[in-house]
Amino acid sequence: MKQKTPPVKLQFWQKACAVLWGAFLVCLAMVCGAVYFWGKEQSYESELSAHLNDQAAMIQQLAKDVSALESRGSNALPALWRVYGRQYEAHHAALEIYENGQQAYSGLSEACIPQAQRQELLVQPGQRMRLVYATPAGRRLFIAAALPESLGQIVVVYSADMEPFYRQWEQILQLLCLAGGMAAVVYAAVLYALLRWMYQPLEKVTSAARALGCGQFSARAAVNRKDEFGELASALNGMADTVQSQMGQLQAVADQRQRLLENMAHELRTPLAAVSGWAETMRGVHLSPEEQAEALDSILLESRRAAELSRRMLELSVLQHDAAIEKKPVAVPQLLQHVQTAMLPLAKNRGVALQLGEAAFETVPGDGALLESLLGNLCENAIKASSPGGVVQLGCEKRDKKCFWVRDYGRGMSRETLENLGQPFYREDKARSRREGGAGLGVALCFEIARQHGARLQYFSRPGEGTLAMVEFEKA
Amino acid sequence: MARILVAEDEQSLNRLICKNLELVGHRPLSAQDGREALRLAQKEKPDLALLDVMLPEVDGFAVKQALGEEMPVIFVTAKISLSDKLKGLNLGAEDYITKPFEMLELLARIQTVLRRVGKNAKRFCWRGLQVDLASHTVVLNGAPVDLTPQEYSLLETLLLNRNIALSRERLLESAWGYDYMGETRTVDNHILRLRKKLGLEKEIQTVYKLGYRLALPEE
Repeated sequence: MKQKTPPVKLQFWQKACAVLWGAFLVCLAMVCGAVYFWGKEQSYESELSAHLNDQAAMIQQLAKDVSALESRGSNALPALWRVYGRQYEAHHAALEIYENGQQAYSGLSEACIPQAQRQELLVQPGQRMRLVYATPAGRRLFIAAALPESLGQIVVVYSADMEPFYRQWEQILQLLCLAGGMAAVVYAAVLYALLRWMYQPLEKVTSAARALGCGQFSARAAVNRKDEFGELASALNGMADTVQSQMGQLQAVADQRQRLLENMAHELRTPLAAVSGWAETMRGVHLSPEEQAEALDSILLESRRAAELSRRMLELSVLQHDAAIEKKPVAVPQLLQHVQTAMLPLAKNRGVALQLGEAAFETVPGDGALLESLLGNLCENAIKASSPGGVVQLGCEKRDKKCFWVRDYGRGMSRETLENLGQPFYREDKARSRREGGAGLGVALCFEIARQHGARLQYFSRPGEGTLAMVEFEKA
Repeated sequence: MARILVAEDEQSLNRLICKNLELVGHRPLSAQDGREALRLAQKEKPDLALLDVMLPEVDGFAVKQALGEEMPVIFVTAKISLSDKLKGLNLGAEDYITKPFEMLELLARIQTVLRRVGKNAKRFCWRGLQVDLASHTVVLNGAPVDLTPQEYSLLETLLLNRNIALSRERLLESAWGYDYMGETRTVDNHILRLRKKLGLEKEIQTVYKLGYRLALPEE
């Protein structure tokens, strides 16, 4: 089976190349052709008129000489013919003389003109006939005329060699063709190179665009030119930059979300293991009433823990997703009071004193419940970081901007912890905080709430000395 | 039967594992953090250690390294990633089980490890009943009891998981193997015969909708 070769597809620039070159060739040919033919025509005319003048002069002179001879009654016509014949030979023209239709003298070889043309040349008096004929010895011009008036039976044929003329013009034609051919080749080469150079950036841009389409967001078109192609390339590159950074951002967000999800699943495993484990044991083991109660307590505790965890996760997710919160003026004294009331049980449990500072300003714009949650979280962490007998202070002040702060004199945090704070699920000592009921989401939530309020949450801490958490609102 | 160190910082879970170990006859040693675990291991020299990877103070991997090669270790952990698993196993742990897990599964794996290191119980005695787990022989009040291989397997499974209910399917699997295509009714029949032959009508209990349990008070 013969393989069918696919049809050759020409690119645009190659087509342009071909068309331009073809057009050039046609124009060149037309112009050269026109110039050549016009030039040749002119040259021919001038040559012809020269010969015609020559012949007219000759006829006049001959007529005079024949009349003179006849008046003298001489029969020296043949001699006259010979004289003239030789004379004009020197001028590179040959003569043929016919008397009454018979050839009386010929400076040409016999076989020159065939009979048909010869008949044509035998003109009537007053007529002048000319033709160009290709004799075996070359192309010749024949001008035939009869002597005027009474000498009309004598026809003189003046013949000039046109071969040099034609040869010259043939040479010119060859030269023109050669020159034209060379010009065409040079032009073709230049045109090809130029168009190729022009369109090369397009190839680069196309392949870059294709690579981008395939998902390679780092592909760029390396074009340094300052013209339209350069602009096209830099526009494409700009677009690719945007896409790449967007993709990068999206990827980062997706990664973060994935990590969040993985962490949550991970955090849920332990409470679930306890719940299912105790349920399994209750089912299969004979337990005393006390043991049963203990088992159920564990199940309850762990279920609540899991529920709390997923609630916080949801809260964080909602905060991250939702549009801006509704900001209303929140009464600060009441806010601080609520937080203290909420934190009192935990503080008492830990033997930590929770002190409230004065309300330095009346209101702050925001969502009351979220702010309570934020300050509550900060207090909770502060209390947990303190040892029994310690003190946690919750206060607010207004220097340049309104801010809330929570101070504790407890464990403090290392530099590494400070850097990682705010990442969901990050905890300095993972196992310890689990015992204390946290899952590393509290601080992430605080950051998120602060962000939603247009406020900045900052931590200052030294291991062993305590921590200061400060929430600074933007200048209203 | 064996002394097992349980290092898990989640209180409920720790209690749960210890409880179940006691039920089947092991002696658990409970630790809430890595440091405590190492201290207990040093003092009591347990036969096996169950370590959670995420322990406070010193994490599970570090504890394993400190315990050395001789101490068989099973990691019990919420960390499910392959790299963590490999790390655990590369440190020389005997097994790696992820939360949440079935208690019976954990007990079975503990049994496997104990058998591998030769720390499993060789004999079992309770009142007049003596079971030699190595030779698969049973003596009741001095007289040898004739048990078919299936009956013995059943007894052994009930014994090793005593006080915990086992489903008929599980009993079928352990005594007859995974490929057995028979009905679970066989289990019921065998149980009846066991009860009669060993006089354990009270002890081999039927657990409603679940299966059977060999309930023996802890020794």
